[in-house]
Amino acid sequence: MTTHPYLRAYMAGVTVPSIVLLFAFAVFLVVRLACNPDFPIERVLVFPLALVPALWGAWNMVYLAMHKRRYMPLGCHGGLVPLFLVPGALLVARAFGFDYILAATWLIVLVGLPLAVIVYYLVWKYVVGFLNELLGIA
Amino acid sequence: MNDHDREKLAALLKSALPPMRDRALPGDLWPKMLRRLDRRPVRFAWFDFALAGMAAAGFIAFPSVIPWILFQF
Repeated sequence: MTTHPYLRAYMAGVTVPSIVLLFAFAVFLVVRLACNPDFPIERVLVFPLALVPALWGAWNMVYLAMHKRRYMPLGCHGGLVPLFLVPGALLVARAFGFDYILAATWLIVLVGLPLAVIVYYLVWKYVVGFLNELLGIA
Repeated sequence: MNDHDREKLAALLKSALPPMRDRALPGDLWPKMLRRLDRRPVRFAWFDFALAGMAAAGFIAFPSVIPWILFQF
């Protein structure tokens, strides 16, 4: 397996958020159909549905490109993702008018950012690393 | 069973089993074997356990962060 390494890197990166999205969709359907909330729940899904998986795939491609030049470990590379995602998520939440649903106060963001970095570090180190190894790009 | 039946049965068996044309292996198996031997089992470092514990403590202390984190996935 020596061809299209960047495509394989993208696929390995996209896998984890895509699987998480399935569960998010299930929760979304239950909430939408059973509870019928009065806030626009569809708008909340825009960011995780459209942007997050693509960013994960692209970020894994960046890792593959940088890895050839003595780069940082995969976990640390993945831990950087929230530094880009959190401002983007805040912007999207404000733009679509659902920041009040996520209760995105400064305290939540300040506490959530290091927690997100830890979660991302662990997920990238073990899960994305496993997928990279599986697809022959580790 | 007469000769005619035997011939018919042999023909049927031959038609049912595909002929073995290419018996050679599709490629060299040794590189795959080396990769398998080089593969290390997943080991969790103590540092990662500490990080996971910190994250769990953070989620317990601030449960309102959980939707915000899930939104990033």
